[in-house]
Amino acid sequence: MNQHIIPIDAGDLALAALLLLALGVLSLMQRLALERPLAIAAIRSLLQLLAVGYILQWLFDRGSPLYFVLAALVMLLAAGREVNARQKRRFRGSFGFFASTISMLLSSVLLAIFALVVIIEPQPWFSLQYSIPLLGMLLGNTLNGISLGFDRLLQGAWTQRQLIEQRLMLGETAASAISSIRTEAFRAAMIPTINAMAAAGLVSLPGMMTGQILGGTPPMEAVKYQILIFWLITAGTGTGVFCAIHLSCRRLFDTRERLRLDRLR
Amino acid sequence: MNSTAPHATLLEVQGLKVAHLQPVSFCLPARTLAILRGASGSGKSLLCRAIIDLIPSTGRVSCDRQLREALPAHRWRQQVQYLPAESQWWCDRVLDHFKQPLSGELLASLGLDQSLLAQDPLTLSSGQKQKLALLRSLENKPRVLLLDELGANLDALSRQQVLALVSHYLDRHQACALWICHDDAWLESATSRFVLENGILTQLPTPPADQPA
Repeated sequence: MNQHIIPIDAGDLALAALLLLALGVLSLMQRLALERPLAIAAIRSLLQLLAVGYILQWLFDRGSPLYFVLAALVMLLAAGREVNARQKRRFRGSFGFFASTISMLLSSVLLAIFALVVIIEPQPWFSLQYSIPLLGMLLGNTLNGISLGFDRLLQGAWTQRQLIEQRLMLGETAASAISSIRTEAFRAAMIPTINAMAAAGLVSLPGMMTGQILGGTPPMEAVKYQILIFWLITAGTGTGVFCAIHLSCRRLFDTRERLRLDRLR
Repeated sequence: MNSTAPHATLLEVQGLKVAHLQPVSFCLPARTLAILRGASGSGKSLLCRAIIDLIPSTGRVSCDRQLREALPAHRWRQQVQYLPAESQWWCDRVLDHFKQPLSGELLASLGLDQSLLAQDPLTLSSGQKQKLALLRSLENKPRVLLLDELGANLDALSRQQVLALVSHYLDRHQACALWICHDDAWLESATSRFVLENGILTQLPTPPADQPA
């Protein structure tokens, strides 16, 4: 396989930016109120990715596990913040941040370490060229899942308050009274991940695999990595979402099994 | 069973404090039906929600001499059932809301047809919903019933059927009921009346003729 990569220059990126601009104009015309979040997210993606390009190069030049821990910590805390940034209903105070951060630590971070030590086995295991992209992909997808799950759970609890209270009045436990909303939240959180796996190869070529192939990796190698990543992502998202929804469901009720929507805003 | 004193206190509320209401105290003996009146917004439903511990409140509430804090909240609410004025239904079929199959006899006593059970709750009339919600609550075999405007949108015959069922239940299970009602002329078997006004709960004097034998 040749190692020839076609470089992309600033002009190419500017062309792509025009497309986003057109989407923003459409949003303005149709009053979709998407233009602001769209603009902010687009500018953030540009700045953050440029910065991370420099930082990755700097990190790759160093070989201490300390840098892995440091990078993982920054990524984890940023993910915890992002989960709660765009929720319509969210927990008051810092509960949402802590619940999602702990859930991602227990799912994505542990799974990434497991995959590095047991499956991929780079030398050394924390080799930043492997560990950081892997952790990034796991965290990014788990973040998405938890965010969707929170959204559905908290919106559901808010709009179906009378239903939950009716079930409590009938003597159901808190866990039972919220069970249907909880199931719905878990489903909503997992759909994108399951869709991506199911459609892979038939409808879409996954981003990571596409990137590797564009970068000159033989397709079969790229495919094997992609399969591994998919399964890790699904396992990570599933456990992370489960953990986050479990913690949230508990937080929605107090010790006397009362629905406490005053803990949301 | 009959050795139990008929007037032993069942529901006991002492100094219950919730929101804008003055501390509330009252007792309901077993096998009694009490009426609670009060203008809309006076806090009747609020009081009920506090009694079943669905909203935070302070004070002593006990059922059959057992403090509510001594039981897990869901067990307390099984014993002290509150029927809100608007019942909620969440499954696709009516019968999925019941733990056990309902007998045709029981349904007929409320003038309900068995075919209702397979229906979507959305297709029920408000009267049918009220009756089915009552049956759903009674499945828990509660000792105390807090009935929020039960019968408000029922015709005269349905009211009599509902009252007969509740009265029979109270006798059979040594239970008591607090019935929130604006127009209580048809609740002849009521033995006491309470009024909630300006945040104060007062018991109205019982007319001597109303004393049961």
